[in-house]
Amino acid sequence: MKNRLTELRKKNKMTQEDLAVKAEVSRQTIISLEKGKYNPSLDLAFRLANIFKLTIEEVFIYGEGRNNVEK
Amino acid sequence: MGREGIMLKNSRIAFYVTIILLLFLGGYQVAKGDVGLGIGLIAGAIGVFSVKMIQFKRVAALESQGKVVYDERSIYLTSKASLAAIRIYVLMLAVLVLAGSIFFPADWVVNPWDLIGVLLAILVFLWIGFYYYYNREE
Repeated sequence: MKNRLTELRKKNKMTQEDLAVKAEVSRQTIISLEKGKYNPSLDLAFRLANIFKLTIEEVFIYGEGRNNVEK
Repeated sequence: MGREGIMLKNSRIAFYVTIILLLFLGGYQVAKGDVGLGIGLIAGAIGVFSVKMIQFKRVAALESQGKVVYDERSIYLTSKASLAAIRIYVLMLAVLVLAGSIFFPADWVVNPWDLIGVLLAILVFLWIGFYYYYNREE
């Protein structure tokens, strides 16, 4: 699943640390999310979307492959 | 307190109980006359306690700055590492049992406590290895 976190974070002049504190997760989680390596829980996806005052669909793009499913 | 916070609190309680148990066992061994093992247990318990206390303080300092150290990704990585460690462990033991029963004599005498200790250490090291692997990869 792809996302627009890096773009939105930079647009809002936030550092990864700022976003991590606002979303109540570690900076490492933000790094993984931005790299597309980690798919967030629904709760975290909502929190992130709320920070940018957007909907989940505007932040996360589904249909780019099921990279969270163990092969 | 969130799910991560409750898990952290429970693991800290388990840690303190384990340290008290190790100190008690160490003291018991010294009283029984096995000074080497007793002192070793006490020293090990104090060493682990000191290292963990430093870690707890670092985590508390980060949390006081509003930073989150343990979150849903930590739980995800823990679960994934546990599953991978158990899978490899079971496979490894199955191969060992098969190879052992075919190629090695059946009259070996093994101290059961040493064996359990070695098996436990292998499982813990597998888990730590997988945790760091997934933490780097994901």
